[in-house]
Amino acid sequence: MIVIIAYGNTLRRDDGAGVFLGGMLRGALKKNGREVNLIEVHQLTPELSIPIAEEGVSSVVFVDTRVAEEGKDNFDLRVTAVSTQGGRSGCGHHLDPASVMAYARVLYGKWPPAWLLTVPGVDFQHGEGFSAFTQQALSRLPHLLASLPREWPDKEGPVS
Amino acid sequence: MPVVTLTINDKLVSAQSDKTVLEAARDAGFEIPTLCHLEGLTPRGGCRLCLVEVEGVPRLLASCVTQVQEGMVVRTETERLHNYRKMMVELLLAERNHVCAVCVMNGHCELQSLAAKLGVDHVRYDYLCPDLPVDASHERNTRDPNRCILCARCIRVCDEVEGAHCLDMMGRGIHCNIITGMNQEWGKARSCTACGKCVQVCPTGALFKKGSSVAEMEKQREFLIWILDGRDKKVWHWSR
Amino acid sequence: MAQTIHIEPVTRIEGHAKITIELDDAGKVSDAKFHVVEFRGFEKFCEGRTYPEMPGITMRICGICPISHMIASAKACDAITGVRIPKAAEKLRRLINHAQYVQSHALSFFHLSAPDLLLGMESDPAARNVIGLIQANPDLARKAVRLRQFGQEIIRMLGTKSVHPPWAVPGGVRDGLKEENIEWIRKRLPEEMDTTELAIKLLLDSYGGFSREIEVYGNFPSLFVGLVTPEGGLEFYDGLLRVMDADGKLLEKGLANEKWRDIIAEAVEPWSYLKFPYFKPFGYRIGNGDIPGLYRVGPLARVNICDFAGTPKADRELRNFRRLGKEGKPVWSSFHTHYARLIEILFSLEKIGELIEDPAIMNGHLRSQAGVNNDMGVGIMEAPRGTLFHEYQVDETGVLKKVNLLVATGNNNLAMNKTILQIARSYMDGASITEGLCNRVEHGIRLYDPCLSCSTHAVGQMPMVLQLVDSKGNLVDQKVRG
Ligand code: SF4
Ligand code: SF4
Ligand code: FES
Ligand SMILES: [Fe+2]
Repeated sequence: MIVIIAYGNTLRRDDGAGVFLGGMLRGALKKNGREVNLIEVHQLTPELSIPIAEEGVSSVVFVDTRVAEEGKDNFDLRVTAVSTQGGRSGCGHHLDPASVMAYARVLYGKWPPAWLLTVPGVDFQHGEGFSAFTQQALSRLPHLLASLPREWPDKEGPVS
Repeated sequence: MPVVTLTINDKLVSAQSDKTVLEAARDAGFEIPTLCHLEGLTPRGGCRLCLVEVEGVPRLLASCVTQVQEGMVVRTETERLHNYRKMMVELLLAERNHVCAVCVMNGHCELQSLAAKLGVDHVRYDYLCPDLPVDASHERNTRDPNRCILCARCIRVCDEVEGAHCLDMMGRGIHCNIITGMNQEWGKARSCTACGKCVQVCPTGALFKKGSSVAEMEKQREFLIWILDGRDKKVWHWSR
Repeated sequence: MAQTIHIEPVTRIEGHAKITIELDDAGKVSDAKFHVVEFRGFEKFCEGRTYPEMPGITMRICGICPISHMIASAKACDAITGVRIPKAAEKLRRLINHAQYVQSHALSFFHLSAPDLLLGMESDPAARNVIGLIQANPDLARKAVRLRQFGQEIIRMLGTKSVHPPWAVPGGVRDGLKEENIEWIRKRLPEEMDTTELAIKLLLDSYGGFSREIEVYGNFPSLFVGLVTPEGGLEFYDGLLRVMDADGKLLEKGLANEKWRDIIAEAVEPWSYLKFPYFKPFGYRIGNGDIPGLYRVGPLARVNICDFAGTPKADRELRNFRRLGKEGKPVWSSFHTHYARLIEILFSLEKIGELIEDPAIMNGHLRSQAGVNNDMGVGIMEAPRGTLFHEYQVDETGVLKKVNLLVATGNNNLAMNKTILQIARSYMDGASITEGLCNRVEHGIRLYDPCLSCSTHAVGQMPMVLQLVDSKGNLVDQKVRG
């Protein structure tokens, strides 16, 4: 079972692209016969470690929007490995993926491989619908999956 | 009524000769998406979602207004049709201001569920973002043209079933809009009997019960059939 | 001349929550600014809609305090209709609000602040994170997860999930509780009470090591603003507006909600998109000096302004808390917000206990019906992070003409800036930014548990940049965190 945790604010245009991409990823993985549990949330919180620690979870994919700046970003989907050694939280009211994984590891003794998949976002106004940049990136999901090993996300893949 | 035989998606189907292709297909178990069509109202053929391919006819035909014919060979699910349908839904979404997450019909909307079914994950057209005011002047119902798809179900039910003819369509092209009481505020329209039938048949959140909050509005469309034939069938109390 | 940094529209999304520390000619810290690159425009998004849609719209715009927005909005709508909502509906709204306090404060204290508190600010940053904390105290972490879950479960029971319609609606609520829900809450309460009392003990035990932090983390005189009951008790859902000065004098004992504009005005600064509300009678800035109208909201303010809590355990802690103020004055140091937060969890748990034992909560009449009877509606409530104002103007048919929201983080904007300044003044060492300073500035901001998520989740999630700018406006040093 692959756990997908997709998060963002679906009423702030590109900010909701992470949630949307989570659904796309589930569809793509299911098509390949993989079992998926998709969780959509506004932000990461400690108790997300509970579904991660469930029996039979083989890997975790966090899906989020990243704030992309012109000139500094390639505007493509991006996958990085998430450490299970703990992360840090900034000054907001939320955790980062590494912290959620740390909870699962220390509290429940589970550390399946975890990944962070991000989609670039540029438009964070109120409303629904994505910017052209974001739509373009979203359409590259099949390409991204094709470039990853067959076993991803359960094993192998890019390291960071 | 004579019966004709036709082929739908390679299946031989027989139907009474006054039936439409849509009815025949549905009777045979084929799902064709529709928006402007509603059982109990005269067909209009406006939304073009029910398009089908008919062998020997170069154009695509709206199945809700096409009568069955002997020997007709019909396809209801082809890639071309799928692409057209997707395009139609995208155009509907781009034409007005649809924000499903905060819509009174979120989760119960025919347009929304159709978009999901057809796999509309983005809209290829520029949003027109028209500036359309909400009319909340009616004591019981609210009309939000931002979510209207101009299917005219409301107009037809008001005219054909309630007999009030309070609703109409005005303007052409992108200026086309639903009007109430010869284009006055709904609350001032004296022809409106406040029966609420238009609200119940509207496929989207364009017409809703006043005071509804987000995702709260659910519509009861089956009542229409009951109004029309309940007496014949001796069903005196309508329930879902 | 102090250098002012403008956020130009094109660079609005910079990918960072930016904090600048400004130096004077002598190289001393002269000012500190927390730049919020939030976009306004939510108001515009709502205008033209009908007011009953607002609880659902506003709760979806902020993922962190959806319950607060839903309640403030429903209250503003109640005011437009002029109805009194059924007793049971009011009790249920209070219940969900208390549940929200439990889960929100638990996240802030146990999961976000506790690493600094229980492991020490100077400890190795690699270990001073969530994992360091849970490794050092897995039992506490597990309890903390359960405490949050308790709050969230109550919220879930009342049918408020993101895919569902808003539960609080104009005139009341949509659904009530079931017998088995009450049974579940009753069973779990003692455990959660224990967890909270344990946390209080841990916090107070660690106080000895934080005497300097207590001195410099937002330790300044200011006004305090919040709601109290008509009798002056601690209140989160519905009450009168109280304003207390730094000496404990009541400048406003209990003002009716609709008069809030008599006491609060909003200033704007070119370097932030968040407004700067202040206490109107005292004014904003005089020259470049302090801001006399600066006030704080949130746990510290609420616990300061009330005469009593109204439940036995919270009142016991409150008496202890009062001793932290100097010479009988209110508690100034924002560092004590942690303690205030725990007292509020305790209070909420006790209140939840009271509410579920009240037979009136099971009454089936939950929603009053009424149309537009006033063209203006104000809804003020206490969100976990502070006072939240919703103000709507409608036409006679109920279409929104004007929407104004003043969020808790906005109310604390001036205080947050001042807190950062105070920390920078005290911990700036030479002309560079140290790890320690970064941590402390972060912790200083976290004391206010700011919610930037009403802007975007991405903005709230952004890494923090701390910049040091000299008197000529040159960037001297910069550190990026996150
Ligand atoms: S009417 Fe339907 S498609 Fe339009 S916003 Fe509402 S739910 Fe979405
Ligand atoms: S108001 Fe509703 S029923 Fe009438 S035309 Fe528009 S979408 Fe169709
Ligand atoms: S359903 Fe046939 S055209 Fe609309
Ligand atoms: Fe918020």
